[in-house]
Order: sequence, then structure tokens, then C-alpha cells
Amino acid sequence: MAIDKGIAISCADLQQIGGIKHILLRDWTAGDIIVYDNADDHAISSIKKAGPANADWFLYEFKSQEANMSVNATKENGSTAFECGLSFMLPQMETKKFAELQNMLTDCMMAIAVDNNNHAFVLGVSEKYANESVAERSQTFLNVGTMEGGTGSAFDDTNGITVNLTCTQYELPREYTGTIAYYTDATPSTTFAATTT
Amino acid sequence: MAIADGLTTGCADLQASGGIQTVFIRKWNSTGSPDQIVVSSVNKITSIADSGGSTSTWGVYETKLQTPALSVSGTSVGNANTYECSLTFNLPQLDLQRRTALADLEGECLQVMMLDTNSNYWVIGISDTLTGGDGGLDLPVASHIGTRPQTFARLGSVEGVTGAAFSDENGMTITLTCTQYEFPRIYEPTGAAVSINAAGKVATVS
Repeated sequence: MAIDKGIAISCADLQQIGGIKHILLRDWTAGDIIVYDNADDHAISSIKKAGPANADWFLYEFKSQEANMSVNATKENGSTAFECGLSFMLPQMETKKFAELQNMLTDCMMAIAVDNNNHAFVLGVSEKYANESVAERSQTFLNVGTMEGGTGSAFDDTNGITVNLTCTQYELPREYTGTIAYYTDATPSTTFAATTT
Repeated sequence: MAIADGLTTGCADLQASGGIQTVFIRKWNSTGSPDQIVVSSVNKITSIADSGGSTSTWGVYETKLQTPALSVSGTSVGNANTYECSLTFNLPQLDLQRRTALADLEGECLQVMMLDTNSNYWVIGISDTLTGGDGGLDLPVASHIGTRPQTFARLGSVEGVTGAAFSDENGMTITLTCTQYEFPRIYEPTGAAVSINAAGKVATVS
């Protein structure tokens, strides 16, 4: 694809806000259907699971201003690898949080990180160099990279754990342009479920 | 919100008086269920209610005259506008009752409202911008997550003194602080006005 357009920077671009406000995670599941949008965007317009016309996600809250997404690219010959990271801090270590983190250890995941400018970036779902015949066996999935936490020692130290999820993709993270429905389980929400369509 | 018009400054504005008359404090989610907060697009809070109800209960804190003060310091970087808010007030005479009242504030996520001497109710600890957790996604109805904003107010510092000389001051000065990402909102209820019980220590807010 040739360079076919330039890029304008507006006032709103310069007034951007840092940080992530929502993190949604789900496991890749059999029959997942991903619709990539390459028309004029680098986007994903739809993420659904087999059967229903949506996909289930779960919202992970974190300590405010302590979550970030990182993208680092390296090019070698004709191949460019993007090491993508999603880091978030869970304050106060306890059994419920550890139970969910324990569940992640062997999972092949995807994430949507919604930044504070309302752009929803998808990690662990990519199209380039997809060597699988069905989407569910994507090898560019998101998984646990590292965790780092502790109780601290002084009374006013931080008690919590920082989770770093990583994926290696061969294209930049795509923006999810579909609709996210939050808290789809009940009111008030207990599982913090969400769906994409 | 676009800039649609400017501002006038009238005689009444120039006659504004300083100070806080009454301080109201309650805990977020004090009933154990999500609070229901209604914010308006014009920077007001129009309702603060317990889950499933239409009112909320607040503690009314009388203070030494002319000691309470709200300060707001804002800084803007990009479109992140950070407001460090603090309310300082003095409780005269150190005693068990005040010491207990102080302990009730420790470690709590607070909502703080204050009536200034110009009859405006200012609120800190309830905001609707970059509130953390879900980014204020659900604060207006508070049905899912409005109980967990990370822009709550909290006890910041306490200074207690007995004084030395007979004419010295005896009491404690309490500072409640809050970092929010919008200027404090004004509470203007769509329902009943704030009412304080006969004993003067409990307020009902709609």
C-alpha cells in the first residue's frame, strides 16, 4: 500500500489526555469472528463469538492514572514486529483479585484498552501474518507478561500488584470502531461484563 | 461545550462575601449500596441519593466562625485539568466528641458539601470527569460503578492544639482534600431543599 494521504494535527489532537480509562479482557474462544476494516482505517469493526451476535468481555478496574498501553516496533528486513504492552495496577492485594489473575496465567487473551480520548485499541487481535485458518488460533494473542507487586513496608507504602500483559503483533494495534455495551449482567453489575458486536 | 456567550459582573457579584457557613460530610456508598448521583450538563449536581431512595443523609459540622475555607487550585496540561481542592475548618475545644468525629473521617471515601455565605452549595469529592475506574461512565445513574470514583474527598491533615497560655486557642483544624479533574460543582437540587434536623447535626439532601 502506497502513501496516499497526509496527516493533519488539530487543536483537539494537541489537547489530548494521557492514560487509559477502561480495560476489557476476554479469552479467545472457538468460533470467534473478527471483522477487520482496512478500507480507510486500521480498525476492527466487529468482534463476535460463535452463535450470538456479540462477544463477552469483562471490565477490569485499576488505580486511576496507573494504566498504560505501549507499542514498540522494530523492523528487520521486511518484517516489522510490534511489541505491545498493557499495564495496570490493582491496589490492595487480596484473594478475589488473585483468583482472576491466576485465571489469566495460561489464557490466550484479547484486550480493548479505551484511552482517555475515547479511542478503543485492540491488543491481541491482528490480521497481518495470520498463519491460522481460523481466527481462534491466532498466535498473536495477548498473554500475561509479568506481574510485580508487594505489600510495601511502611504504613503509607503502596499495597498492590501491577499486571503487564503483552503481545507481539506484526501490525499496529487496531482501533475498535464497533459498539461496546458495558455492565450487561445486571444492575448493579456484579461480574462487570460487557459485550462487543 | 462551546463558548456561546460571555459573562456579566453585577453589583451583587461585587458584594460577595467570604467564608463558609455550614459543612456537610457523608461517606460514599454509606448504605452499602451504590449512591445515585445526578449531574447536569451545566456543571451542577441536582441529586445525591442513597441507592433506591430519593434522599441521602449527611453529617452537619458546625465550625468556629470564619474559619472554614474552600480552596481550589487548578492546573491544565493538554486537556487534563487537575483541581486540587481542600476544605479547612476549625473545631474549637479538644474533647472526646470532636476526637470521635475526627476518627469517623479517617480512612473513608468522602463526599463534602459546603454552604458558602452567598448561599451556594459547593461539592467536592463528587465529580464527573476522569473519575478513574470507569472514567465516569456511569456516575450519573450510579447503578453500576458510581460507588467507586477515585476522585473522592478524604481526610488530608489534622492539627490539634491546647495552646499554652490561658488565652491561647484550644481546638483542632481539619483539612479535607480532593483531587478532581473538573472544578467543584454546585449542588442545586431538583427535589427538596437541604433540610437540617432539630438537633442541627443531621441533614437530608435530595
